[in-house]
Amino acid sequence: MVIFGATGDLTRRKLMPALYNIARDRLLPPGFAVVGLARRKLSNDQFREAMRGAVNEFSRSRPVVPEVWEDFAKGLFFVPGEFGDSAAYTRLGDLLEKLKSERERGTSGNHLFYLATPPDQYAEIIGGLGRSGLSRPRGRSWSRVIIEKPFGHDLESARELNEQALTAFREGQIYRIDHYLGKDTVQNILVMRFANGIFEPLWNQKYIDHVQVTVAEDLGMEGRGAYFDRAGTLRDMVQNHLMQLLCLTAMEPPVAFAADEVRGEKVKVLHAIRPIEAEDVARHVVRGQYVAGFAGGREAQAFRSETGVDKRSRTETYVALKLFVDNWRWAGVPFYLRSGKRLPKRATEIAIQFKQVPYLLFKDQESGGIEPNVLALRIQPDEGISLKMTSKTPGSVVTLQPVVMEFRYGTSFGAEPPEAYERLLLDCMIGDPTLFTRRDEVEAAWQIVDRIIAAWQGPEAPPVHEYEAGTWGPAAAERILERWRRL
Amino acid sequence: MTSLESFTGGRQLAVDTTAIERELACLWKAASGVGGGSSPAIIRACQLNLIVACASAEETGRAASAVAEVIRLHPSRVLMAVVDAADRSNRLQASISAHCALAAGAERGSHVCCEQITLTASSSAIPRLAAAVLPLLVPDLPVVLWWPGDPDLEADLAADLTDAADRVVVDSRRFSNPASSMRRLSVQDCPVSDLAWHRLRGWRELTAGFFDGEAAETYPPRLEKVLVEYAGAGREISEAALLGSWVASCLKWGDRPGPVGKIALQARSESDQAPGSVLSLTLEAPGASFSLRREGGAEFVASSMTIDRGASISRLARVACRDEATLLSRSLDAGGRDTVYEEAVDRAVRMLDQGGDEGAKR
Repeated sequence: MVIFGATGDLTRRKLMPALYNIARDRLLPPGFAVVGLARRKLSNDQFREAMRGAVNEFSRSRPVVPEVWEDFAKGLFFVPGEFGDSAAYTRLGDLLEKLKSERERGTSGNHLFYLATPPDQYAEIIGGLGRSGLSRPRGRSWSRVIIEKPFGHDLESARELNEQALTAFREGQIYRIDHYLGKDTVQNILVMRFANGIFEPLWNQKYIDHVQVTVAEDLGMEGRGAYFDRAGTLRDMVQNHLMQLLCLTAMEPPVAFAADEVRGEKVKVLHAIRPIEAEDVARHVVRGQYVAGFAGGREAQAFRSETGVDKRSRTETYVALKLFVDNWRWAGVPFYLRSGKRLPKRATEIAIQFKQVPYLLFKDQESGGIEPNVLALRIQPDEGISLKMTSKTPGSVVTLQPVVMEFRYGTSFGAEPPEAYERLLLDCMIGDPTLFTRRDEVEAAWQIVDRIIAAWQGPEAPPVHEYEAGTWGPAAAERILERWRRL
Repeated sequence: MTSLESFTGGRQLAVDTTAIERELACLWKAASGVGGGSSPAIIRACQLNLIVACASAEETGRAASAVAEVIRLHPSRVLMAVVDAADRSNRLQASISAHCALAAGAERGSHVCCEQITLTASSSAIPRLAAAVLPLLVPDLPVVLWWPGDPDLEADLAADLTDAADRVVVDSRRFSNPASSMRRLSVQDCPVSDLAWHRLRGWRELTAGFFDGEAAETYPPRLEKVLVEYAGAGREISEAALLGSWVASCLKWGDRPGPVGKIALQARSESDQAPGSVLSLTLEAPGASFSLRREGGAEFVASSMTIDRGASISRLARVACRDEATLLSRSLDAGGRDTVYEEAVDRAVRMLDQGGDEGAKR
């Protein structure tokens, strides 16, 4: 596996801990090697030492087991070089060739290239891999590339990037990663829907009132201010994570749990999403930006005061939107999506709110009233599923109260779920692209988002509402939905 | 003693304010492994979110004792929001603990446990307190906000916590300015439960009992005076005002044309009764008198009815002396709005604004 951007944050926080955990679980093939490539001039030993520190800091199984680490570290190598320098690819090719031999590592010539760099360097790296011939599999070996999100910054750039990638790789070699799809709880959406008989009959416009998808983060920029100021929540979160969650919730049952079948159904959902016309953007989409407030009991600075952020930035750190999926199953059911930074808590969930009972037997105000059933699929943290129902409280009078039936991953299963990256890296190694996004999926999602971005840049652009850090976003979001879920 | 043993044993473990959920998740996960072999299983339960807003050490201690009792019947995530005004620093501290009790009907001694998170804010950290408490609410479960003392309902903290609540629980006996606090509560969107109102339940039942029989049709329209005596020097008037107002409300005084009776509230120094306790209630009509009088300590009320200057019919009834935990538990049992209470509050506010009397003299 070759990591471009091997000294970056993604490698330290996610990739190397994931690889170490896979090694610890004895799931890596013998002879597996990681080659880091970055501008910094590090020796193999320095790279190994830095990665040990990263695993010790970020791995779910920290601290490292010395014996496992020693064995794993023998397969870590570093190649210093500029991504645009052809000599770097020559050095990389030489090293990969060397590692192929049984005497060194015996990698069999299988290559997985991971682009863990800022997106503006993807084209350069793909070009370098193509020109050097490293992208071409030889004999029975394979060569694949994982491209991190964001995949483009709009439809046009996504198409351009796809074209560039296809100059060096075939579509079957390209793995576009959205790490949300690697989460056990996200995969469980499909299992819950299609492996249980009780939900699917209710999963339609006849019984569902609306769906709320929330991806809330309590953190601010954490050093990503410069990048985020260019991207914003719509591009950084909605185009990928929220769209994926919506697709998994709304898709039809695929004929098989296989890559093209699953991804084909997701694309159909994206195509069925009603485009938001420019004149409707103000009614269907609300954007906000956090100002100073309190988060987790501590003072939190405004977005514009974060390092790397323009003091006059109008970038959205919060988005709420209302979408409709125009098909037989979902006609008339609104899907409410929201995502933001510096919200009160970190929480990702899909909430299915069912319609009220057709006739209210318990009308008496003193009975406490009836709240609708809600099936909440909690993706993180506290992963699990809960079903809110109404129950009579004990006693001689009829008093109603909502109660919740809970399934919690953490306590129902003893084993710790793997990190998303562990699953996705393994899937890529075995050549299963089910949990990676296909070209048409990415482009269809950009098509939806692009219309909103265009309206935001137009003369009638709706305002960027302010919200205090540590609150659930701007009050204007209540225009879209009066009762967002309290998470 | 391990962290898990301390936690499930009810001891408070100090945690970082940003790591509360994570620490709890770790502890519960460890606790879920308990139960193998001969050790008792731990069942985590949560029926509601109970925010307890305390403004002093005395309130915190009293509330903690009540909560420990209440959550046996109402397993909750307890969020103690404590203001330590004496602390001049800018600190916001957090601790977590568990309440565990033997599960009812448990065969192998299973324990039902729920969690308590205590957030203590120094005077300068008060603005941060609500922002620290609210993200800790468990989704989809009702949120009950309990003020064990005299709440400052004009403060931002009260507004923020009340906004998140599905029910607010107060004890109007503890209000230093009953009219003002009741008025503020009466305009809130969410239902209010008042421990003082629950304390009056026995008095209200006995009062209604006067008019169960033949007197039901005859005397209510003739009643012209209600006198409520209460213990204290005059400030602890809430409970008496609620009782008097409730009677006026039942009689629909002022709601329709016709004579309106008079309500009088009188404070009386009574050292063996808690300040604010109702001591007696007298309803008077021409030729008839109905009275309830506390006797033999706090638990008993003597009821007497004199009609047409005939013989007085008396009996002694037990009005159970409810502790704070029982009253709180009763508040948590409540479903929607208590419209009878709300009407009594509206009248009490008007009466207190007028100086303690309602209606014109006949």
